[in-house]
Amino acid sequence: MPQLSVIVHGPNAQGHLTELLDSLDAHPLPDTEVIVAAVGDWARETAEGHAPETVTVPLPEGTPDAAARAAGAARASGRWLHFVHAKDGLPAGAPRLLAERTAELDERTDVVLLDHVTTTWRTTAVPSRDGRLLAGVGRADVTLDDSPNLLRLTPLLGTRAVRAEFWRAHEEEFSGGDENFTAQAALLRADRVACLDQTAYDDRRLRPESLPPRTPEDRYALIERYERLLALTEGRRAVRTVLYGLMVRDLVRVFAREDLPEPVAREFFRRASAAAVRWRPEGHQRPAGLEGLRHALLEEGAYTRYRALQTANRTRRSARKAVRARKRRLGVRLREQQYRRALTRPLDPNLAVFAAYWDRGVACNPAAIAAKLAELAPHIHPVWVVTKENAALLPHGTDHVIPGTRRYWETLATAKYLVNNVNFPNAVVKRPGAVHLQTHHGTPLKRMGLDQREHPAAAQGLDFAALLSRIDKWDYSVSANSHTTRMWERAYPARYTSLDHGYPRNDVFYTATAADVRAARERLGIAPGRTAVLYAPTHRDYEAGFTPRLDLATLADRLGEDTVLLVRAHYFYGGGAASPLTGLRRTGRLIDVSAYDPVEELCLAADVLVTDYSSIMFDYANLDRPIVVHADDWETYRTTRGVYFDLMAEAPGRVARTQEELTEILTSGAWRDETSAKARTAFRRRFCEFDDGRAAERVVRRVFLGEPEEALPPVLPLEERIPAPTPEELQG
Amino acid sequence: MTTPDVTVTVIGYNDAARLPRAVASLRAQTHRNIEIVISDDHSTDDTPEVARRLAAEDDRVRYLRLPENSGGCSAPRNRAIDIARAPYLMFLDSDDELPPRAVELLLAAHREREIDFAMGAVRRVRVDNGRRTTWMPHLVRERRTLDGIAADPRLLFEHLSTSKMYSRAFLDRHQLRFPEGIHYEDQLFSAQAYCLAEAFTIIPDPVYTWYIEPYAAESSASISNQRHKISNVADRVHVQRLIDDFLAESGQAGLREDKDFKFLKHDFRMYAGDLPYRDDAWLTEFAEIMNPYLDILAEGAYARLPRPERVVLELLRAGDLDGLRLAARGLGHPVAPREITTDASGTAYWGDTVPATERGRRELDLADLELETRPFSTAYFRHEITDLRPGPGAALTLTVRTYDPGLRLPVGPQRAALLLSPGRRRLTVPFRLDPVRPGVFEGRLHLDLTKARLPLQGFEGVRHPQIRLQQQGLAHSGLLLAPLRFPALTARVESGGVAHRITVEPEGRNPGRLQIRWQPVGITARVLRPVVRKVDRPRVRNAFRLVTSALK
Repeated sequence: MPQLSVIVHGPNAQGHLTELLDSLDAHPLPDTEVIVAAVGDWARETAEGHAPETVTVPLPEGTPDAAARAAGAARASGRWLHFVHAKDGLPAGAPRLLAERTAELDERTDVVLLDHVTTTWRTTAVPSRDGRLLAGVGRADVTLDDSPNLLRLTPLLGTRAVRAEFWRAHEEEFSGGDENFTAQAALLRADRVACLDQTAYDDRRLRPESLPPRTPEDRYALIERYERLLALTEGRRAVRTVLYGLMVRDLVRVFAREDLPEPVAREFFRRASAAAVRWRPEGHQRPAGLEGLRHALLEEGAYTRYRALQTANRTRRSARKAVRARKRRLGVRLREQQYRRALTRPLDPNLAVFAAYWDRGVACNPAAIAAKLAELAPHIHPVWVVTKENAALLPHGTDHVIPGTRRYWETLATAKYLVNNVNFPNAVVKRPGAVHLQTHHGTPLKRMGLDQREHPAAAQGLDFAALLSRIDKWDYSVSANSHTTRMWERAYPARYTSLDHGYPRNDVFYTATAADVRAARERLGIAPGRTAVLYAPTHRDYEAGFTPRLDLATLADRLGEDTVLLVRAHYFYGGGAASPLTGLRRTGRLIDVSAYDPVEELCLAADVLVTDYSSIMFDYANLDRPIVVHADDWETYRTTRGVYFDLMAEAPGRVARTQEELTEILTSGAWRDETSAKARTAFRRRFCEFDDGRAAERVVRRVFLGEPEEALPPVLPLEERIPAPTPEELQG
Repeated sequence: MTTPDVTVTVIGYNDAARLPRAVASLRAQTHRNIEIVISDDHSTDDTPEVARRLAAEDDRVRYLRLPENSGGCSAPRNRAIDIARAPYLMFLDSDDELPPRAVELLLAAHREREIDFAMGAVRRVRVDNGRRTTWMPHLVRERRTLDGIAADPRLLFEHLSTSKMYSRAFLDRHQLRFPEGIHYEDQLFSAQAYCLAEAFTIIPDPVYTWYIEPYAAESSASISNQRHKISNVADRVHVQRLIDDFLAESGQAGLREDKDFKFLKHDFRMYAGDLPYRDDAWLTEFAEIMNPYLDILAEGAYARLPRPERVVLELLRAGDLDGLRLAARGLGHPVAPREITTDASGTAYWGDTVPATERGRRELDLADLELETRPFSTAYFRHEITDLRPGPGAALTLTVRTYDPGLRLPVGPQRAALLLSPGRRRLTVPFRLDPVRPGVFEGRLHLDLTKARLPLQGFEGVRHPQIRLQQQGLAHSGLLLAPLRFPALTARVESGGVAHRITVEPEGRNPGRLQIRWQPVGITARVLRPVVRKVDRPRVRNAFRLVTSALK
């Protein structure tokens, strides 16, 4: 007798059954059976493709859900049943979680409530709001009368597993309504209930427009559903109160949100009003405010007045909206005027505005320049532009402005220096005497600027005329090597001066001491002696979301206990407890550094870099530590995005085209052999040309202190530079 | 003279001020035929005069003065039992009251069927803020008659002798009297009454009003509240041993686990909350008294406790005093340990080492807290203030250290915010938390208290800031632990015509949060506040809210 029967039921709606069964196949399910009550031919064919692991119960097209559930349940032999609609999904490991949880329970528990995520055509796995309620109950089993708030959980049948005997005893009653009825009725009938506060269901909401239109009878059914549920609460005061509150909330909501035709609305209101009066618990207290007023009118059955209130409220809202829109427009005009007025004020020669990565915060070249500026020219006051959201992440005491505010425009208008690693908004005016310093944020491998025109995947949504007007404002452009200088000449054709001084952000790779490297590793929790692999892939323009390109769990397994993977990619969302990555994180063998800042510190901590086409490789090369390129889709990338040179021929180290090759390179020691070192030397000669650790000093002295190029310290030849010590050297 | 139906004994010692209130509540009973005995433990204040005056006013009142002070509650009650004339007995302390129908309802329960005692709900009233709660509400929720305590051993938690009406015949049959010469006599007496009774009835109505001052100064606290005295610990353990002996002698050993559970969950828990504030010397003495007793308690009793309490008990038994103080700050609140350790099999334990003993591994095993997988909103973090600098003005610069033993936060800077909501308005102070090492973050924030908006009538009260973290659209708010002791900071703040005195202080009791107190002063306190108070009726308030929500 298996512990759990997963009963998949329904038609293969929009083909989602295929995904569901595939995901079940991918994970072996001990002590669990899968039964597919397949409605229609497509579902049957799909299900039969998954035999013998699954049992198929073929049903004719058009079988209602309740009948399909019954047919599936009749074949089930498990102690517990979990009904899964064919359109929905099961997160990895969900059946195992459920089987384990139900095994802990005794005979008195009839229902296990679990957490779920919601997926629509445009969002994936959005967490539910049920988690807190479920966690509040904890591991103990309770009666609904003690925790009536459990009724507030999303009423989906998929979010509750039921004891098979209990289900069979009440099957007839449960089948007499829609899915929400069944879900709530099971909860109301249960002797005791237990909770599992982990995600074990994925509720897929199909586009409403893809489903048959809703009839008036469907609307009235909502009232009928609640009336039948309330009939089950006889003599259960607490449960009754909660359920009644839910009913009134839902009825008012249907009325407010869905535009019912007049006769339907009138009839719905009449029935809703009757229900609200009939089931009103003794001493019930209405909520305060507008909502209470709505409830009062509903109870009175005052349809006309309710409509009047609704109209009044809608008018109020649209009036408010109009006022706000007007205020906003006025605000924009006012800011424009303020900006223009500020432009007439004299420039402040001691004010510099800094921004990086679309106002993300203190980072990259601008951060390095600002730090050096504070040292060499403390009379110049730096102000950072940061979005409101990111202001919280600023280092304590950083002077900053939020885009769109008055001070923002005034600062932009009067500052002599404007420093950015991307562009300032188009509205920013280039004043005579103002200095715009474009630092860029990487040596280009992929095509940039005008060169993107031939590559539609990259050029999507770009306005090249606006781009040209933006680059015309540049006075200086910072470059790390001749390759960049030349490529910018063609990508950004304008009259700026190229500062061939190196990237200020890379200075740290020469100035960092052994203590800095040690501190970075401690912060990340890399034990001494372990090899840290920094994995930092780039974003692909031709992919809508993020697709994992490596199976990290397997890779970590193959690399063994002495290797730590630092992963800079969005791998971790929605993994949950069942994800094998959780265990690896716990033991410190895999560290999610996606949010880590600054990225230079990650480079200092890592023994080796694994990347595909990210410009981090040009920076990391300064450290003269091994680099492995993992380019599984080089041809696609080269064609769709366009590149400036053939990375495969001029790579900074070993190149892997598959995960297998990558594993081989990392385990065999090839990542740091002589071939790899030779490739790196050639790469460094070409791309680390000006990065000698004094780039920020040269940029500040040239731009802010007005020194001529000849007066600046010359670039140190590659052979004479001493990069920060490697973690291995710290050991010795 | 007719025989009274019930004798109610009021005991008192040097409490002449409150005695008339207690007696008045008895004279106001709906059941009139009662006898009221004032049993005076040889008070040295005005009690004799007050009591004699009360006796003169109502011939149901009798005054009994003990020849010398007994120092406890037992002797005054026993002497009163000796002279009581009624077949049913009740007891009242001079600082408490009986609700008007208490005697009527309990007597009705006795008359309904043959029982040894009847008991009802106890209404607790906080003297400092007037808040009312029901003591152990789940035990008295419904009316029921039990044939002996074994039917519901949870009742051992209801160990008060005062909320009950005893049949005199029952007390005499078993020669049941209050034990003299010990403290916590109630506990022993009640345990004996529960075990000896063949039947007793519980009614859901309130039958006793208990005035409590949970945070009274240590010196003025009542006998049972003086937890800082080591002798108090000894007394409490002593009475437990007496109860254990009684259970063994009376053949009720089956109740032992339930009684042990009650001791851990109630009596020990009362001391546990104070442990962060005790020094090594005190804790050592505490352990010397407590540990030998803890060793003989049933293992099953520990297993029934919530994990944080088991951790505290185990650290005490293992003699880890620093760990004990750390863990005790998380009692009753979701506060994470600073550190956890995982053994080879992946089991997580409290602290920085895997416990050496089997008992330690059992008690410190944190698997059931699910630190790594709980929903983010209920996750366990620990936010501690490591540095607190005042100024300028009514501002503070705080250094906050966040412990994340479940490794829920990705390595990297975190957006955190301090939340503070005086007078229903929220002040949010965002700040950055930087990783220090895996599972530990640190950040600095500037909290300017003048930025908190306050209502026109000002705000009087205490607030404890919280720290909010966010992940994937889910938010987590956790309490902010302050240094246990630091000098209180006071500033007068005036913003928008509203004047306040603001005090920043340590909470001074478990778990030791940062505490901020607002006190309206000046014109706000003298004029605005009384006026708004006068107008601010629920109806006006609702109408006001309706109007503002409509205008929004």
